[in-house]
Amino acid sequence: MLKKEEVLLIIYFIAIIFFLVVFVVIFFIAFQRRKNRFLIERLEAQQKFKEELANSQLEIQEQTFKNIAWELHDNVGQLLSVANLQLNMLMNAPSEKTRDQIKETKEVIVATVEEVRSLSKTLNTEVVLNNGLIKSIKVELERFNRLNFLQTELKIEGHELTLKSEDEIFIFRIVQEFFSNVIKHARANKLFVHLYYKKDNLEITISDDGVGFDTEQKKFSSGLQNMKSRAELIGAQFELNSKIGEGTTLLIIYSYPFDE
Amino acid sequence: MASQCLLKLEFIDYIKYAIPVYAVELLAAIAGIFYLLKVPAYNLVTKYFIWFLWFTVMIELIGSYASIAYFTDYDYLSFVKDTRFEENTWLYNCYSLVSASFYTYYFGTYIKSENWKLILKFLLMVFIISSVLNLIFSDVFFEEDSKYVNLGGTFLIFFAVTLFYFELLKNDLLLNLRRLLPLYVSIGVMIFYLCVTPLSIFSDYFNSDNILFVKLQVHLILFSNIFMYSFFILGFYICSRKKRSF
Repeated sequence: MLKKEEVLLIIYFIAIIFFLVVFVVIFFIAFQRRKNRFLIERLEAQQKFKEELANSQLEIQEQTFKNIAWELHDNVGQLLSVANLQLNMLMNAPSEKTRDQIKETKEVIVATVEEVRSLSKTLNTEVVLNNGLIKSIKVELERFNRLNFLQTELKIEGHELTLKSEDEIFIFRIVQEFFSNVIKHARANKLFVHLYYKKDNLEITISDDGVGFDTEQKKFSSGLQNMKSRAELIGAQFELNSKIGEGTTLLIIYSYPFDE
Repeated sequence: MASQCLLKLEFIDYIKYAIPVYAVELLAAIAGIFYLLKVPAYNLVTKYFIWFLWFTVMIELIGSYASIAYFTDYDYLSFVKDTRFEENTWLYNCYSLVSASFYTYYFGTYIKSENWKLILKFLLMVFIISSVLNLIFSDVFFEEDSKYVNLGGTFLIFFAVTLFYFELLKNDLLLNLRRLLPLYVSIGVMIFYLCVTPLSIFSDYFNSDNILFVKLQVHLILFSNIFMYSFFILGFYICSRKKRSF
């Protein structure tokens, strides 16, 4: 027969086992939580590093654009002007035929100077800032029209607002990247740009009637990634829709920051 | 796992101590079915686990024949009287073997390290074969709960759960422990087996001479069953509140 003390001893041991197991489980869960937090912190640090990297890359790109713009404006532009002057002096040449040719050449040079100027305007951040988003887009579109690349159409709805200057640059660069893709790949005839200044966001829709592409396949191309990361940096919604043979549509929805 | 030890008790005790256990077992099994319906992306092992819960309910239903026969003074099922099947220990011996093996297998599937998996498989094989031999060659099969099966099974489950926890610690994934079904299962199973098994050592004292011990055993079995199956139900409930689950 079991004595009372023996039964108590059994109870005691079972209680000890119970509390030990509870302790182990709680300890395990606490440890696991701590580990999770550590992992999250590490992940966040990585994310931050990536963001910084993207940011500095874009900064470098802007700087490069600026330098190229200066070079175009100050160097190439000047050289072309000099060439123009030289041609002016040649205008007194004897033969009629040469004079006509010189005149034509002069016209080409004047056009080139014009092109270089407008190109340098769209590349230079400060000029873009001075002109504002709408005017910069207009300059770009006019260039396409002039060069007979595309027939463009710009539609502006709502009351124009001045955005935060960095954000304006970012939006313009996204638009520019899209334009350059249209010219390089889309083989489009028409380009439609719609800016809609709504009450609390700016909606930009750009569409072409080109050949389109498979969004799944080109997911990781650097141009798209650039556009996406730029949109992410200013917290804008970015959507690119395309189907082969049906053209491409880009939608950017940029919410105005609260403090403005 | 309740009715085999209640045969020497009154009918009122049977209602008090065995029926709640059947109830929680059934509830856990039903909760499992709800989980399967609500979480389409369940994995296969979870499905096996829920089948196992239904298997448990079935075993309890079959096993209750001995109680029915006993409490009706063998008016019903009189053919079992004075045979080796008068008590249902043979059924519960088999069930102990199956359940210990199943839980070991269940936690084993979450272990990724090949070596430990191999060791666990080997131990499981040894346990199953030796248990079968023990049940055949000793005369406990129809007499009482096999201490060998109970103790061996408990150690095996404990080992498997420990490996499972180590696996989780080693894993560099961000684990949402609240949503991890095997964790709830492991807490329930570990506490149940570790707390109930010591009683099996003293099972020879389960008679009318040791009222205190008998009381302890029936209460402990009742509460640890309720504890374990409540944890299962809790786990099913919490894990079914999201789409993807383990």
